[in-house]
Amino acid sequence: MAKLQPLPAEELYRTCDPDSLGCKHSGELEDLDGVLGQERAIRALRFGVDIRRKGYNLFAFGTAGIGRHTMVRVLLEQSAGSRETASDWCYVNNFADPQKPRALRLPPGRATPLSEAMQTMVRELRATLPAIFEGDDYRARREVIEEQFKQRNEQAFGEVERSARQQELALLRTPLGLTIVPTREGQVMSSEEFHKLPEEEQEALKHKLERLQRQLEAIVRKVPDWDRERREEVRKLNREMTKFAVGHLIDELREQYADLPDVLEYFADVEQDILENANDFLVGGERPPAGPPGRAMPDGVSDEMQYFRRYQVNVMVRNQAGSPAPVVYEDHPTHQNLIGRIEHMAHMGALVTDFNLVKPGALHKANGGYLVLDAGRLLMDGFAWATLKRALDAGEVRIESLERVLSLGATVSLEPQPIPLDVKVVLVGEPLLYLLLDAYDPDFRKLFKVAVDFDDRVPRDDDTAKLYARLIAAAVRREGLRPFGASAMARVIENASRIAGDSGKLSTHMRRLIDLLAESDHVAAQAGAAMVEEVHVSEAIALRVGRVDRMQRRIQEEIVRGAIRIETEGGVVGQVNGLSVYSQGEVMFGQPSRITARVRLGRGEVLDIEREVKLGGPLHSKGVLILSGFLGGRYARKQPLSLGASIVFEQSYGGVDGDSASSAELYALLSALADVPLRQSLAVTGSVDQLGRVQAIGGVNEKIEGFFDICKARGLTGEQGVLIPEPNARNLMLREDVVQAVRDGRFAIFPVATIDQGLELLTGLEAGEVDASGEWSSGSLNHRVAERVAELARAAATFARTDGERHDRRE
Amino acid sequence: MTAGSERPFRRIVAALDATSDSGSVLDTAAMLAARWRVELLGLYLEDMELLQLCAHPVARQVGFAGGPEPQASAAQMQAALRVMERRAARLVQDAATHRNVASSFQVLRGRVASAVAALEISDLLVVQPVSRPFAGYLRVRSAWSESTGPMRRQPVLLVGGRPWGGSGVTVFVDASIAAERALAVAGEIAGPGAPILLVRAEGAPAAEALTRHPALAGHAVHAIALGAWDESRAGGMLVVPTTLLDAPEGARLARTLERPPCPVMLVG
Repeated sequence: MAKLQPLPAEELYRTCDPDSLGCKHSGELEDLDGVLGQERAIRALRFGVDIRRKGYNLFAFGTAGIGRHTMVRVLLEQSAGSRETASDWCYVNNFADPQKPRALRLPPGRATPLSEAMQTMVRELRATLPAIFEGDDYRARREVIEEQFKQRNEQAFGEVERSARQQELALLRTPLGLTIVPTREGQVMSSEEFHKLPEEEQEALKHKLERLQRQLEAIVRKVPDWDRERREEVRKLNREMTKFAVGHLIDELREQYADLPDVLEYFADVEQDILENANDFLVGGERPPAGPPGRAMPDGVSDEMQYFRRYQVNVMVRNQAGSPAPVVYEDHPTHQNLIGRIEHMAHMGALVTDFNLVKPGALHKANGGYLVLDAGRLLMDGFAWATLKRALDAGEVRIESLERVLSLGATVSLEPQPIPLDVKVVLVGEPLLYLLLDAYDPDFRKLFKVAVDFDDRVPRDDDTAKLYARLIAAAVRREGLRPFGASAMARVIENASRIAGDSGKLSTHMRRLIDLLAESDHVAAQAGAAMVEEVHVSEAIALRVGRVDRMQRRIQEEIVRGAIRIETEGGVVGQVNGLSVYSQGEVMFGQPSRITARVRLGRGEVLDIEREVKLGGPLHSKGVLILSGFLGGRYARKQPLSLGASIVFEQSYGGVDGDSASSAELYALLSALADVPLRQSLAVTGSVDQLGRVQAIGGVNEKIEGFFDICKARGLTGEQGVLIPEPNARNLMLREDVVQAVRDGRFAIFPVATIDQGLELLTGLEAGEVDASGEWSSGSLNHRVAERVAELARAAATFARTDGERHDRRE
Repeated sequence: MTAGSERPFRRIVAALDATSDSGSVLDTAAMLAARWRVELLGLYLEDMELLQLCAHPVARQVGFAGGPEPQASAAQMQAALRVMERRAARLVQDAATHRNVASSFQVLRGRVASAVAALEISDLLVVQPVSRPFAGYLRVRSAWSESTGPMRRQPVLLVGGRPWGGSGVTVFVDASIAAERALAVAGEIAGPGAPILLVRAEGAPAAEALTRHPALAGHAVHAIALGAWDESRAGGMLVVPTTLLDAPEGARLARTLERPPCPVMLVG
């Protein structure tokens, strides 16, 4: 097998040529129109926005910080301009049932004028109605009515009184009513006098009394009817006088809103109510006590004002004619903030409300447009998700307090008429939330049919680099930063590749980009520079790492001091330097780990000590189990795999997961089997399959740099280096000092495709070739391993036979 | 009573009972007590005749609902009288407090005659001659209406119709001594500088002489003949000598007083 060559320094870092950006600094670049990359997401967004069908709401997901919200908002605002302006919505009093306020839909821009017109009308009525009712015409007609009824009563009772007098009977008022008694010479006839009368006279007197009694009773029974008639006459008069005042005011409004039948219907109700309750407009009129159910009013509002609240118009949503459809982002998506709420106020010790205290929610404000919500925050609220689904499913916003939903409160509240809902909801969240909702909520697919999958990286080429530079320029202007020179922008672009973990990609993580720009600007400011240059960006990156690398430094110190044993020279059988990464915030660090393997007679199992002590994750265990498959498939086709092996991460006291160390574990195992030492100057990363092919892993840059730092601290020898999976070569965006060391021949990066390539580098021996009969070339490393496996198989067979004979003898 | 004295009456006696409108009687009585800074006495008459009616063999009761009702028992009537009595006492207290005058409350059981007999000549008795309306409209003579009869000794103020605003007096004058007293009372009641209408009956002094009467000094006095007066001119308070009511030419006035359109002061 040809000797594997290390990667040249040029392949370890993909630079960005400042000249390729076509400018000297960011001030020369236009803002990026739209978003960078994300073609698939944008297509999905446009599809979801354009399709006007129920349930086609959107869930936009991707890594936090990549600018999902911004991109969604930009696209929605672009789309909003082409949609019809959303309607205005109001709540008005339901005069038939004040508990159920009525919703009114108006063309955009017409709700506020309606509200103002109603206020004006009430003001005018408060001035004109008292004048009318205090005028001579009204008073005269009112007195005529009162007089007519007074005469009617007096006439009726007068007849009774006259009749009583004529018959020598008297009407006496008592606390309990009226008593009719016989008289004699103007005085009440006593009982004794009555009994002295002849019996016939007594009977006749009794009959007279009974007749008068019946006559009086008949009149008394009629009095309430007469009184009702009187009140009705007065009411008719009041209505007539009120209509005179109200009619022309309402007619003016009718002309203005002639195109809106619902509003005209409302005006009819208003007119009717004013006619019925004209007294409310009169100072000191015969009003019912303030604050009856359904018309209860808050403190601080005078009784005078309270009576006219029922003619107010509560504008829930106001838009301007010709304005784009609303794009609403609800920052705090709770139950109430979504569907609105009904406020209560204290009045005479009770909590009361009316339709004026109905407040809109985000769904009202976004109706006719778009509502953007953060899925995580939405799901954090115990009820908001269910509320949103209910509204979308029903196609209406029904304002219900949580107490009512949960049947907790007994307070009399309102049931506002639901408002038809025409909104496109865009949830923005983590991919995990999307997957969980999709898996566990059966309503989710029905209501959120459009998935918008944002990528956190875009391909890197000259065109995208230029677009990225415009993205930087736009952010610099938006954030009010110093202009960035071309070299600084190039450095930022290179860093975007580093964040993406791929020299062929650019990270679209906007928050990290903006943070870096702001921190570079700060460094430049401290340096007194008018423009941000490459050196400032590099320093900002270094400072950022330096702020969180305490643990990394500590571990490196311990390794260099020997407290953590990592060997970087010489050879050791069954021991290899593996590489792992850990993250501190958004910064990742790599560190070497010493992996050892021991082999003995056994039944073919490879013992993962990490798993045994529950420090290994499932992916690590999977990687270890793959090793058994590799060993059996390569070396034990004709015999049992009669070995027992144990593998461990030495001095590892935390958890281990992932399979990126499986190739290193295999090297250690094969070294132990072949009894051949491995070079400790090399470190290894990469997973392996059962066929011995080395597979890509993550964090390759950090892993290389982690081992490099240890070697550098001990002194670079030129023998040191790292074996990485060949597919990871394109991910390399290594630190400048690493690249320089490679350029100087003091460090090496080897792209390994197979275990055999790695074995040759680590042992200095030929891996060997297998012939047609399955035999490995003599003297090769694989031959040694195969021999050892065969030897163990034989030993196992011998042991089994001897053990069987011993067993037979005992029997 | 002395014309021109600061306190023409020793006490203002509000005539109260279970069937008349105590409120309007007390309003007027308390106002006068406050004007002359004299005591307000609430005199509650527990009319024995009402109790006797309960045992009357043929008395017929009509209730507020207009249906036939059995005659109330004496116990029921007594309970009702007690309730009204407590209410009247409370109203007296309230009216006195409101007007900031001294007050007392007495209960007399029996007939009006005995109640009136218990009063001093210097007491002004304020009476409502008709009952509270029954069924909203029907007013019958109240128990106290008898006090306007021939047995009266002291002045009586009949309350009814429009309330008195505190000024405006019409005084009737005949040839009697009572008319002299009426002029004195009118001068006291009218208030400083208030106009007084003089209504002259047959035999009364000449109008010119009357307008210069010392009791009317400082008032704008206008005199008319009794024949020119009718009920539509009744305003403010009428001050009437009782002798006029007994005269034939006072018959029309007497009928008016059965349902007084405004407060009427009867002076004997």
